[in-house]
Amino acid sequence: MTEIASQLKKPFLYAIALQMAVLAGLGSFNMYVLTTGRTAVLKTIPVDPWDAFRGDYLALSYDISTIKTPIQFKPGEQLFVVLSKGNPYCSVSSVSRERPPLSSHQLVLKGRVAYVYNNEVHMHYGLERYYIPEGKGSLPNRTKPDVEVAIDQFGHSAIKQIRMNGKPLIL
Amino acid sequence: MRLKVPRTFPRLITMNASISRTFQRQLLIEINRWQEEKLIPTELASLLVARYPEPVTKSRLVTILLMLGSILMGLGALLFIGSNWEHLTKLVKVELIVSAILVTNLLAWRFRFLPGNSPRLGSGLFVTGNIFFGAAIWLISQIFNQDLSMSDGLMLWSIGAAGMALAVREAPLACLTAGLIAAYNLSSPFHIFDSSISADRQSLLQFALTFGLSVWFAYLLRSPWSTIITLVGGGIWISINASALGLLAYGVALFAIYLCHRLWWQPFALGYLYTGTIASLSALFSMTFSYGDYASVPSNGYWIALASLITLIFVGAKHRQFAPETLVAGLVMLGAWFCSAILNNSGAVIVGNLTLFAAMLSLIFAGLNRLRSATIVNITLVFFVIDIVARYFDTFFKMLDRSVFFVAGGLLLVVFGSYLEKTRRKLLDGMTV
Repeated sequence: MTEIASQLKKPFLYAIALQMAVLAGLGSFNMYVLTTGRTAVLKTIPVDPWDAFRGDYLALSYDISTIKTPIQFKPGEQLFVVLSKGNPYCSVSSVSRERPPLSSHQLVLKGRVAYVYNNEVHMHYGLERYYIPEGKGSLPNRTKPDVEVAIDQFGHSAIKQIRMNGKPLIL
Repeated sequence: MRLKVPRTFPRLITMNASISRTFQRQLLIEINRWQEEKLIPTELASLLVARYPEPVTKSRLVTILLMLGSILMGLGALLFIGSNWEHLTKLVKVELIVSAILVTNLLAWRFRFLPGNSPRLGSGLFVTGNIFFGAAIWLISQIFNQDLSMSDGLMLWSIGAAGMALAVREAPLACLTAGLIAAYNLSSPFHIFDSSISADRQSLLQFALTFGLSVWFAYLLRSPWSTIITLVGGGIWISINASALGLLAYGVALFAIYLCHRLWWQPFALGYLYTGTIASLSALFSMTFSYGDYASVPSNGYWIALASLITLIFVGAKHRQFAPETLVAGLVMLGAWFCSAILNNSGAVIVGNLTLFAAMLSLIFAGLNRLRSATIVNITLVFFVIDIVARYFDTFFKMLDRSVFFVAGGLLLVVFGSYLEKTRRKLLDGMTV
């Protein structure tokens, strides 16, 4: 082994480890939310655009994406949205900048303000995409699927499954 | 005895002898002839040959092909991820991409650093491996249906690429990292990539931090190209977020930094000069239109102008020999500020044109007589031509009949171009070497 190779061997292995740690962190964060989170069912209005980087996905918009509130929020602000569990859909109870105390039938979902129009806040939760195999994006376009999401105690969320007429959607 | 060319000589001997291969060969023939004709002694001939060794040149074609191949492989991986291929399970997809990252990086290491291999192929494979890493970030977000924003993805990607670049000290990886940081800066607040969040999340401070980090990184890895990518990325960010005044201030600041920087690490310094000149002239040019945005300068523009002014004062005070340059740059900024803050639309257009004209004359003078840079003269002349064409369209498009407009315009360009080329050559020939 050359001198430079022996000098750089350790940093190179650290760099590989860093990259693997980033990927593992990204994956395990989602695994944590999916395994520890409580389940909530959300009502949607889907469309099917195409993402040049990630192929086809369903662009999901939720009932809880638009919230009427008298409080003035700015675009980009991180908010905590309190959801009340219903049958079957969850609905918004309140929205605030700080994480509020919850009752047993409530969940808190973290999101960001996408834009504000009059007294309506449009939220972005990171739940707005469901990836599907290329070319199969038109199938669920005619219907409104339900989305089952997992929400952990900190308000992080991940999509568990998409349901059509009460059954899991398989594409 | 015929002289042979040594490939390497001590740095002190060869440091002032940067010559082309053709010139070196011609010179060797001449030296041999002088020696045969007994015009010079053998010792002197040997010294001259030693002074001008055969320049070691790398095949750029090979490097370009390898880099293109590496980037294409990486893009292929991105498209593969994009297809979300249904025949593979999630676990297999993750295993595939992780194996691709590991195998590519290990092969890159082998080719780059172990003896008997191809270092340039190794450099190319490092780039591929790090594009695979970027693809893996989006693959994992896709698997978990996570709506990872473009800016967050780019941030994670740049962290991984920066780590690898630092570890293996590779300039192409430094360039990739600089590009990723620039894209990250552009992606989050301006909806260029991510249209879902309209928030102006990224402050000027955040930009300054990542920009400074990127510049430091380029110096750490000795990569002039990485500096240029960072400076260009910064210019685009400022032009979007801080209006023409901000871009002008940025260009002036880069020019001032060049004045300090020009005596050390020249390849880095030239990036500041060229980027600064192009940024300044672009900003001034945009101020010559009646529909320019000089009337509404965001606070970012004024902050950048203030930082630029402080840089100018510092350079002017520390390097007195550049007092004229700093003074003119300051006056140009004053003219631009006058346009943006004081004047009404038509007044601003007149002052904008005058300021651009004064800046161009000053740059040509400085390029010829003080900085001795033909490139600066050429860049300025390009802007001069663009400005003439723009003014011609502004003034005569509505006044003249269309056919007359284009015939007259074409004729004007031919005559003006021919005159300009003669003048340019005369100017550059007269430049003191």
